[in-house]
Amino acid sequence: MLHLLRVPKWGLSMERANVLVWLQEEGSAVEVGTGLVEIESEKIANELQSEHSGVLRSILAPVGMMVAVGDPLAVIASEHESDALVEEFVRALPRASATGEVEGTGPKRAQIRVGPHLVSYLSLGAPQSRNLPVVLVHGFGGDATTWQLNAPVLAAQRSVFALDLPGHGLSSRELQSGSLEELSGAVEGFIAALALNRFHLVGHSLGSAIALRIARKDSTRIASLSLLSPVGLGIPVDPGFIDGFVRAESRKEVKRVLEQLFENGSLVTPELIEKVQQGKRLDGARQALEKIAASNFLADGGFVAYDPNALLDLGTRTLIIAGAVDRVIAFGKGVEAAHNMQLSVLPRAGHMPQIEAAQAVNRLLEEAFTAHDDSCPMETNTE
Amino acid sequence: MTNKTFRAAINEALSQEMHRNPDVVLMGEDIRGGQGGTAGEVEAWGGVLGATKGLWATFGSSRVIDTPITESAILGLAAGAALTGLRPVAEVMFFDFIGVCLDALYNQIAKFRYMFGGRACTPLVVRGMIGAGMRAAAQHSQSPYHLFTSIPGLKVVVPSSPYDAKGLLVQAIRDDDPVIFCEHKGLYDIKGEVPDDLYTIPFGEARIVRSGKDVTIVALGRMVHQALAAADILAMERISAEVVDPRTTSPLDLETIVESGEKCRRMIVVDESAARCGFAHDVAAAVQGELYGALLAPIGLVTPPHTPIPFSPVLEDAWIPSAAAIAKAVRATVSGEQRRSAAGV
Repeated sequence: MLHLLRVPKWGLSMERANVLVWLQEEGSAVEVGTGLVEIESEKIANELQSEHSGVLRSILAPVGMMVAVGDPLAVIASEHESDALVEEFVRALPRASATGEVEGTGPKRAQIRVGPHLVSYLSLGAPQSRNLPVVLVHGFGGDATTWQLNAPVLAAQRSVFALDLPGHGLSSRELQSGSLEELSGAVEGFIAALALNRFHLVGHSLGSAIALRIARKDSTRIASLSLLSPVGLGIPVDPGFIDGFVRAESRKEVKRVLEQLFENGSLVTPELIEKVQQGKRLDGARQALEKIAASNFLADGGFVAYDPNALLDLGTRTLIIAGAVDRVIAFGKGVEAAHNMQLSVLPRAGHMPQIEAAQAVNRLLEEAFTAHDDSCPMETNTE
Repeated sequence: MTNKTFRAAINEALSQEMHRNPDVVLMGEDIRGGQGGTAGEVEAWGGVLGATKGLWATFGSSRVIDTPITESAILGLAAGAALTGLRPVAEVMFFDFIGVCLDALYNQIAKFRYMFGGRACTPLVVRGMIGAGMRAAAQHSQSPYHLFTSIPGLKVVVPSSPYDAKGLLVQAIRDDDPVIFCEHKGLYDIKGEVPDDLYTIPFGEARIVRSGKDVTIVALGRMVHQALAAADILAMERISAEVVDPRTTSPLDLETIVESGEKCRRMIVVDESAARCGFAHDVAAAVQGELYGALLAPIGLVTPPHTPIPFSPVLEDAWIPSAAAIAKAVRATVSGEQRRSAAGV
């Protein structure tokens, strides 16, 4: 039997504590009531005693460590338990909560007012970097956290801004028509508010159509354009998906539509389902999705603002990434028809390559960014 | 999205919904929190629960109504207000006191829609505290949600987290039927992520709080936290427990409970309400009707003993279904040596 010693809650207000001194060493035999460690909370320093007899097998919080209430401190077990079992148990523990984040490097949430919209966004990375910043635009029904496996990696080299589109995530949900014009206008306003003069632009799904529109309008400020599982290149979206996503409320319905997004259905965890449900439960969320769906997609899944020449002028700075088993937008054919650009189809990825093939996507994006960080504006004609 | 306490989540739900809809009114004993007292401080506490703090100052005396210490008057007032178009949220402080106003609830409010042929609706919420563990003795520690669940015409909510508390309370206020909203007093200080904006959680949709494969633990309110602690203990013994929180007892999401039971093939129901005719017994009966042949062991019930709640701290702690008792019941189910849980009948 293994016993986990956790940081206790002393009094009503205690949230965290400092480990002052261990009174026993690893390997010491302890009885019920043996003093194990002294910890100090905001208000009180005290000795924590063992509630079990056995051997102090593993100390998980060294002296000086700041720990939160409930964090693991040590493992107590009988001498008969194998070291391997203790090690496996320790490995399976969630990491200490109070100590994980280094000040200043984690993602920061903020809001900017852009016309009628309140745009919420995550910013990461080093603003002092000489490399150009990147703006990440998620797709229909998503939010900034769709980039959770990408933004922290990209942030090692540059500032990263991942916004929640109007009608999504923590941004305001009131929309006029939800058209591509309105959404891309909000993204342009967001970029202007951040005073980004030149940047890399990345879009996923409907976010690609938004990115493409912005690039067509003013390509001189865009160092590179990356389109993941893009809407707007002439391949229809499964209309059943859009309708299903808008309507889904129960856990089962949400699970079913999310499974269509991934090649590997096991990525649709209860946590992901709950998170999507939480977004959809917000007042006005469904109406916003309904507006966007109605203004952007035809009944057969075609894209209202489809422009067959959209890519023609954008030259070599455009990267297109698609999953080989995308069940929302069936890539494979058609995309190759677009010429003069880099195209990467990733195996074992569905509509969410940035999650399912995060490493490959990050590598492709970093290569594209590095190649165009210091180059001159895109040599293209604007409309 | 910020970290808020369960208490703050309830306050925010009331406040935001009152801003949104002028028909929402509050009534209860001392919910203004000390107005008229000798201390001169007019809103010192925001009620004995601290949940309505700031609302009287914001919305005024016509929408935040301090009542006499007469529960029958509170529910009578709420029933009339609801029938004539308002959306009252009545607070009875401790649900232990429901007996003195049970007629209004049991024989009037719950039956209006049915007896008026669907032509009347009674959109009211009754809020109050439940739960043992606060050394408040036998008359202020009970969890009588099983009584409400047995009354047709009432919807019954027992939230376990700040997120659920806000979303379910907003849903309760917007619901056109009477809703009993049970706040476990042991949860008021817990914190969790709660969106700043308004949202609703539909009634009758359980949450899978933790995924597992060996045993389903069904638990409500504070018992969800006991179940999670038990699941932590069991994980060390390589028993993987799935914790399902129905969130509402009426309507009950039997489908999710049965699905989980079908997967794990073993089930424990944890219930703070009663040793007899309680929520656990209701769920177990319903589940065995669906899964009789599929289960590997009888469904285990972890309930308090059939006694009043003791005032002695030692005895009170022993009375409350604990993580250890839940873990023990799970072990018995898994090992096939199914016994009545220690705390049972």
